[in-house]
Amino acid sequence: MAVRPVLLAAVLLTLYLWIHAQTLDSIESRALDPQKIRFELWQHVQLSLVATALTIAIAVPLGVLLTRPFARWIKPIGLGLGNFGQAIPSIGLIVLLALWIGIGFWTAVIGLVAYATLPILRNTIVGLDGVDPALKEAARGMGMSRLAVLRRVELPLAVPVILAGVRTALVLTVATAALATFIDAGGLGGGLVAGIKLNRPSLSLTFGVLAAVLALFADWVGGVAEEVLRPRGI
Amino acid sequence: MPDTALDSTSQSAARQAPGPVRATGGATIQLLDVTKTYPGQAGPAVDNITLEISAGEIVVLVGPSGCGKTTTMKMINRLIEPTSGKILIGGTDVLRLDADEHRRNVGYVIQQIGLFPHMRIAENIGLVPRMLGWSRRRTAARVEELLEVVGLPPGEYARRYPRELSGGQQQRVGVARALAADPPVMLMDEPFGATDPITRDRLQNEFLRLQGEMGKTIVFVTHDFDEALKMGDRIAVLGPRSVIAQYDTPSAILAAPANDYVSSFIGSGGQLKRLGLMPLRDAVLRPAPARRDIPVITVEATLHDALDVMLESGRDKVLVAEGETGAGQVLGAIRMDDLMAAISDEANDDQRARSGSSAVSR
Repeated sequence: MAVRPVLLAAVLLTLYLWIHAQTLDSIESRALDPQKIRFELWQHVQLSLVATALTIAIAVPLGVLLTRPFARWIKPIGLGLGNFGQAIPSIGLIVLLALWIGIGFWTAVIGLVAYATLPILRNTIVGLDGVDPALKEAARGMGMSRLAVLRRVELPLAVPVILAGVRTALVLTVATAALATFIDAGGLGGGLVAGIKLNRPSLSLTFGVLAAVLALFADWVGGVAEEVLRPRGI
Repeated sequence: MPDTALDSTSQSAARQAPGPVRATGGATIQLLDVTKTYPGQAGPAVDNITLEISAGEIVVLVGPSGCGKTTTMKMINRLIEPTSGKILIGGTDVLRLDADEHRRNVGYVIQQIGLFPHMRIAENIGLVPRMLGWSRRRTAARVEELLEVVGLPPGEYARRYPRELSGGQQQRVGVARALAADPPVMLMDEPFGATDPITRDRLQNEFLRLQGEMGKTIVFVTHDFDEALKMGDRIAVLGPRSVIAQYDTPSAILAAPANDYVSSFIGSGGQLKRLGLMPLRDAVLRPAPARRDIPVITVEATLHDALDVMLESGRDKVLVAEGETGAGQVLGAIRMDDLMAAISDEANDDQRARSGSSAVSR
């Protein structure tokens, strides 16, 4: 568990030393200005966190709703929409959204939410459906209301599966947020694309490694969260 | 009936218990023309059942799988809502009550036990009392008392999680949880079905001893006729659509099955099973003979056990003595022809014999 952040720090250090050993031209040194990188990193983190938080806020309640007996019949539709969001190439989705509602931060967030909804939605449904029916029956039989069964039995027992979905969605979002630059929403994608366009591999490498390290770090945070938030006893 | 035989564990609980945590007795359950029809099915799952269960009795609903016995039971706590008919507990029409609140006042034990794995044992047991608005202190005291009663020292078990307990221990907790708010009525759906035969036998005996102190009204569902004989004060043998084929005491059903269906359910060895229902404690013994080379049996055993000893030793009589192994004072002797007489006599005054023997003495 503790190995991952150490490794990531080592990668970043190596990158830093390597960049310092290069002679940078004016384009490179402008793009690699620490203050600029910090700002883009912050944009990237902001995009990812806001998008993931929104995704959770939408997908978990939707998953709960779709597993209630009265809503069983719309479950395939809900899952179908989630599949649709993920099946569209993410860059296409983001560009289409920009054409429709304009460029900027919130357009990027909407695209990321659409893209990451499926894993959380699916895991919420799988997690809730996986709760032993005998436990639900015991809970009902001892006089818990439907809401109490959901709150005290079903959701706590589904938490590990839901968190696994959140972790997947978080990593997807961090990785996909690099595309936000195409609709002027900032993030680490800008430097990466500039490196390709201006034929400066050092830029692509730097921003590519930063984005990857951030995604792996997010995955690690997700893993820690799974460990900490998993109810004891199961 | 309750509280006459305080054992050491419930005494220690009484010392700690503030408030009214002692067991209250049972309430009468009446099913009146209860029918359940599922939409889209040709016939009813439960067809017009009428059944009265006296306060403080264990009534076993026994029948093959799919006969509607579980459906019948679940209508009592309204996990399944009847299509028509009335269900009264202690004279109150339960179909008029709030279903969730009603269920809090009916103990419920299922075969899968259904302990919540993410809650500690104490939390599992305390759920219903807390829902009923008991204070934390009163709930904690009750949990401790119940853990003592089911033989799991609270100091050792209260803070464990269910997966840290064996199957038999979990089922004890399941029973404790159902008893937590001291409900007058308990429903038990094949509660010991998933345990191995030795554990099942022990759980059954413990439960009968407990019931001897509590006197709850209990509806017990099983497909195992031998379990029905052991547990039931009365047995309702159910046919398809939960139609009652016979509703009587175990020995009366064994002595005179109402029809071929009931006979087939009893299977072979019905008379031997009847002997198994007759405790030596209730038998009329002969004076013990002077010769002491006769096998000895404990008075806690049944006539069936006595027959077994006779067959094994090749003697036509056994000595009956006090003590769990028969090592105590000799009370008398019983002979093969006494056993035969018991079988033919018992059919005549069945009712009297049954009501004279409490649940404990079995």
